[in-house]
Amino acid sequence: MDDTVIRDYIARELVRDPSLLPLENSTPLLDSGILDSLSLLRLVVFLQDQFGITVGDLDVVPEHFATVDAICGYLRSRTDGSVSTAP
Amino acid sequence: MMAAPEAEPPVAGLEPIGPDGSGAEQWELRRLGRLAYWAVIAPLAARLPAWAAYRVACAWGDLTFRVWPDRDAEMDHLRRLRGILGEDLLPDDVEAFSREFCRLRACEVVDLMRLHGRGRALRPLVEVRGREHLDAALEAGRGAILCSAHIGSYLSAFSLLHADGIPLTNVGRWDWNYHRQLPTLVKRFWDLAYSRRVLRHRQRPNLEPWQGRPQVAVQAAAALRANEVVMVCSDPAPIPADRARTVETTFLGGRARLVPGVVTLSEITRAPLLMAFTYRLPDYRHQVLEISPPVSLEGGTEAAFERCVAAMDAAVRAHPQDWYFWFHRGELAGLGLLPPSGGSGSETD
Repeated sequence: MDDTVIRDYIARELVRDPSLLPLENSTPLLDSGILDSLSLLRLVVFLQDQFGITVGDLDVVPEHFATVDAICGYLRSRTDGSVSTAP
Repeated sequence: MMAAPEAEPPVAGLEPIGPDGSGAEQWELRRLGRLAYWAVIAPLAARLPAWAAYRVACAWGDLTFRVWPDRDAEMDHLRRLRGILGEDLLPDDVEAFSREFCRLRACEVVDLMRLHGRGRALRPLVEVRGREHLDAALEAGRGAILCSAHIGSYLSAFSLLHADGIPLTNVGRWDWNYHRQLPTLVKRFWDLAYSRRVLRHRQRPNLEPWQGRPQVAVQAAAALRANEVVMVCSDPAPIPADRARTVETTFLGGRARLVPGVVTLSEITRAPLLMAFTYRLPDYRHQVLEISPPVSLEGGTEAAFERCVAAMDAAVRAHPQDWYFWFHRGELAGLGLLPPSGGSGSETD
């Protein structure tokens, strides 16, 4: 499942505070400080490589990156629904 | 980032409002002098021949030094800094140092005013050294990051690069945008007097890192992808949201906490990272903008950032009066160079 791939990447590469683990799909990524400006850039680069899309800088708004669910929702809108989440 | 916490000198410098809100509280009569300088005196002086324009600026700097209400306390502050930061950083004659500081800040306003007409009036006064490093970096097609510090008239000097055809964008906070209690009229004034003049010589709007604006690095990366130049000052104290990713490093003889964002941005985008500093020559008219070859990223983020900080440290030591933050206690405390006294200078909200 793609949400697992995204969640694992964030947990492995971007979470600095272990008390925030394990991540849930609904864990607030911005409000909790997991994603700041530069870690968001890392995530965007990862998403572009992983899903073969280009994320325009105008698409980088808090509502698209607030949670793993929000990221998947944004990716679905960019990939005709081919990005999937666990039921 | 512009910053001027509680004990700002009363010069008409490029730091109109303190990020701790002090500017809003102290919007009082003595600020009318600053208003007059920005709105009337400096724009008129900037139209004079350079020798006369900067003489006016120096006279204004002398005047503001003489009427500085807290001057004795500020002299004591500087003497204490000598003890904290090292005897070699500041001269024995702190009064002469402070007077020079006031003069330079006043000169910087005239620089800004001389940017009209694609910087024609300022260009002959600024020698750019190392431009070939920037041109070579851009030939690789990944853009370039200029890491600087709040030294000298850096914003005006970078404006000249843009006027010379280099697409350049700032990453930095203009703090008056974040004061909730600051009157709208005051914000509009600084937008007109300051932001408008700077942004005329920028490729994109200012990219302002702040809580609730996580898109800034992505926007900077987009500029680099378009083979543009992104300029970042790495010497301000971190905002609260950034404290978790600061690194402790030796800066001005102390252990400061700084954000290595320029290095991380360079690592992610593979854009070369160059150092660039501006300083003013003793005649007050002429300036030098020095651009370094690319900084090596070998050894990882912290090692590379140590090299950047060492370059900033050397630049401040070589031209100490040109550094903005000597009288900014909040900023110095936020950097870890002074004991904390009620919060970092970078906390606006």
